[in-house]
Amino acid sequence: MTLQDDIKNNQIVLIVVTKTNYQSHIDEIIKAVDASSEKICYAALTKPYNSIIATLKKLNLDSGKYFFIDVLTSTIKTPAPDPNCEFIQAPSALTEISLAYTKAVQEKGCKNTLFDSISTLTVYQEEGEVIKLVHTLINKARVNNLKSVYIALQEDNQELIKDIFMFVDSVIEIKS
Amino acid sequence: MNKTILIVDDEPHIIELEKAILEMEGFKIISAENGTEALAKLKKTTPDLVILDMMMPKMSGREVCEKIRSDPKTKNLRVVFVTVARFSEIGKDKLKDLNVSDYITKPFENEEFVKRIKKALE
Repeated sequence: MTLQDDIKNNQIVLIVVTKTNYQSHIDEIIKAVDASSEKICYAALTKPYNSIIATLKKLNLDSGKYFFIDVLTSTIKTPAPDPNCEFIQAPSALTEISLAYTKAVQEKGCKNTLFDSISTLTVYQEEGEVIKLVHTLINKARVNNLKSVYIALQEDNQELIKDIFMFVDSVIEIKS
Repeated sequence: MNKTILIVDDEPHIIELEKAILEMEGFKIISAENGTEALAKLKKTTPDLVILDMMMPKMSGREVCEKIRSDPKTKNLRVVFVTVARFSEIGKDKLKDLNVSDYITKPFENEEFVKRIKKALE
């Protein structure tokens, strides 16, 4: 089964990638998610959303079909308001991330959400809090019949990956 | 002799609730508010059953269960998950791999809770 098929056929997917060739893995995942839905929420947990827009451009994908959640920009500067992006005060603000997700699905009509990368949040918050967030987000997605793709870095936090595994429909490991 | 149950949950009021229900049924209850405390208690005592919450700080219920299974002294302990967590199908398969007797989803009916704990102890 291809990555695209796996994302298409499963509601909640966990993709575990290695840091080696990280960006090329992410590019492949973005292309597969892009093909799965008309409106997508991109939760940028590792990079500012401007950088994600540049990636979409490089991949010849339409950034207009995306709504962004950006956890980094506000930690560096005060961002100008953007209707296509919800700026979170800090990556540790997990409740804000959850509320931004609700906005993405209820107000912006996003049908699929890509979390890039969920394991990064354990740099800022205790693992137990991150798994509670993931569980809440997955429940919201199931209740609303929406899809989600969680990217986690193999090297980041093995226990978090094993816990997310308990709640998802499919796990894909991409090795270099 | 009364059977002993170890309740592991990071929310003290949940421990108190489950304790009250199970004590009325004649069980002896010990408790722990996190995985580390639970594993320390299991070094000193061997209960008949462990009730585990899934989502706890520092160490999840899944991780505690894996540690229970990896210790020769506790590997055959009966374990029941009592949790708000909704497991996926592959999550349920993982619970089977961990030889978990049952999982009970919160909120629960007291009568059903007792029935399933008793069944897990059979």
